[in-house]
Amino acid sequence: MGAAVESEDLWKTYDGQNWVLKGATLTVNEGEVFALLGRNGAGKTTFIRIACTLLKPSRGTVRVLGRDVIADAGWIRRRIAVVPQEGRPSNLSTPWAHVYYYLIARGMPRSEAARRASEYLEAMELWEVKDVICGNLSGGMRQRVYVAMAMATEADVLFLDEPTIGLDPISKTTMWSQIRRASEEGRTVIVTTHNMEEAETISDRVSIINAGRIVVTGSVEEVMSAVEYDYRVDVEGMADPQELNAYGPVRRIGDRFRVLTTASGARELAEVAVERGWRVNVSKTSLEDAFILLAGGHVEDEAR
Amino acid sequence: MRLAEGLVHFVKSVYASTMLFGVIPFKQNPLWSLSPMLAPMAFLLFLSVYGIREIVPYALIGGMTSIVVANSITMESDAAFNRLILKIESMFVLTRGGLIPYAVGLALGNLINALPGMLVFGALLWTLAGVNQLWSWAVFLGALAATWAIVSMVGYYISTFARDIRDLWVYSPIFTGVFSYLPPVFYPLERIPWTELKYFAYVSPTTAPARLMQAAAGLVSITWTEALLLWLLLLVHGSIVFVLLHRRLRRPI
Ligand SMILES: Nc1ncnc2c1ncn2[C@@H]1O[C@H](COP(=O)(O)OP(=O)(O)OP(=O)(O)O)[C@@H](O)[C@H]1O
Ligand SMILES: [Mg+2]
Repeated sequence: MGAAVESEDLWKTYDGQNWVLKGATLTVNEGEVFALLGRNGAGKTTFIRIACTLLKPSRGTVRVLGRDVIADAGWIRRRIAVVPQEGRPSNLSTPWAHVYYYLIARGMPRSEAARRASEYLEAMELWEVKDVICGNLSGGMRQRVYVAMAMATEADVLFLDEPTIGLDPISKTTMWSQIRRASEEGRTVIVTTHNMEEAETISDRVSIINAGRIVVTGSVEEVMSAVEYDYRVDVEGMADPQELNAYGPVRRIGDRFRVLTTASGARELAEVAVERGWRVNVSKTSLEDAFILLAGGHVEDEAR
Repeated sequence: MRLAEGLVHFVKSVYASTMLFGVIPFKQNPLWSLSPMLAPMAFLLFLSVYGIREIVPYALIGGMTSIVVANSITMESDAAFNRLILKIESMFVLTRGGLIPYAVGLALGNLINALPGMLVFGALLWTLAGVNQLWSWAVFLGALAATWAIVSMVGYYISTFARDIRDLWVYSPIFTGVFSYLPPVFYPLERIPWTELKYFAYVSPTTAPARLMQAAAGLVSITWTEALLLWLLLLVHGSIVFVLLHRRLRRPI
């Protein structure tokens, strides 16, 4: 299997001073669902826009399907599709018009465009509202119109920048199935999300990007094994949270304290908690815990 | 063969963009086409009320031009809206033809809004001013098409600098004014008192088409040489704006 996207030592600055990407190197394999994770301002959208040939790298190279994003932009453009972050369809046009005419603009013959528009509007649960102007649709429905537009194309590589933002839990799982389906059909999907459950559920591999640097890349299991703690213990009701520090990193979540710790640490802490009458909850660490440890570092470039 | 295929594809892309951004939205709000008609209509009304018959044809030609200008310069806020708010431009970059057929489609969509006004003014020109020669109308069509193309490109060019559509709200009325009411569009070039100013008027892309139309309607007389020069000037205007715009659009930033 070849590489769908390959970036090598990718640097980007918008203003010539502040570096938004700082040597990002990563490879997305053909046919996989790849999740790009990172805090607000980490550089996910910037990365995607460069890979989509919409933005120029300042330094380094990016290849999509083996071709350079600068030299072969035209070739690449025909083979990829994007759902931009926070885009929305025109309020005065319908979901059908968006999907169908977009496919025509991409060069699809009419009959095939009509067939695929129906198929993907149905898949995105928009069939009933296909002729309603988008201004009369809900926010989540509008979001799905864009995903339907991108997915209905013949593109081999799909870039979805936060595609499930604002979707209800049922629509979200529908979207997840569609993303998996695309991958089963051999397409590559690069998705960004702040929803760790989503990343765990749909992706073959993930990358965590922090302040323009790729911190870790691998399957969810691999990323989690980069963290030395296997367990997390949520404790509530103790007098002095200081003593929790002995077990591992502690984070406050509302009234609770979350401790990341080893198996023996978890056992010990649970016993102490039971003895002292604290409420306690022990579970395996999730991708979210790993994310907070790995991406939680200072986001220097944020809010500039 | 490749060329023919490319051409067919170009036309289909333009059609798709016109439908999505022009025809379907127009059905939602046909009143859009009214507002650019109002100012030239008011103008016409004044002239008629005061009985200034001989300049009514100027007002009709100027009116047609200003309707086209008003509906073409909106390209600037439309394109900026699509890029910044809808972000749909990013999706259309990723089509075979890229942004040019997308933009032509947008501009054609705007022309739909201009059609009702053009029909009204055209009919008045035919009946009131007695312009009924086929060649006159050919000149009209050509001149208005050139105005549409150039002003739309200017609009798109301006839009590429906007960081928010609110940056742009002020420009449409300004450009409509500057292109329609200042240069000799509603009046003949001869009325400009200073020679230098006459030449300066040609900076506006509406001066040449208006003069060609005034000549075609028999209001002013121009030589064949001048006519040729005017068409050439339009070509130059168009080429300059096209090159500027193309360089702007090619940028991935
Ligand atoms: N057009 C721009 N001009 C200048 N700086 C920009 C521009 N776009 C993004 N940035 C900066 O680049 C950095 C990365 O932004 P980017 O949008 O890539 O982050 P992100 O990871 O997608 O964040 P989020 O999760 O909030 O979408 C931020 O610091 C941002 O301020
Ligand atoms: Mg982003």
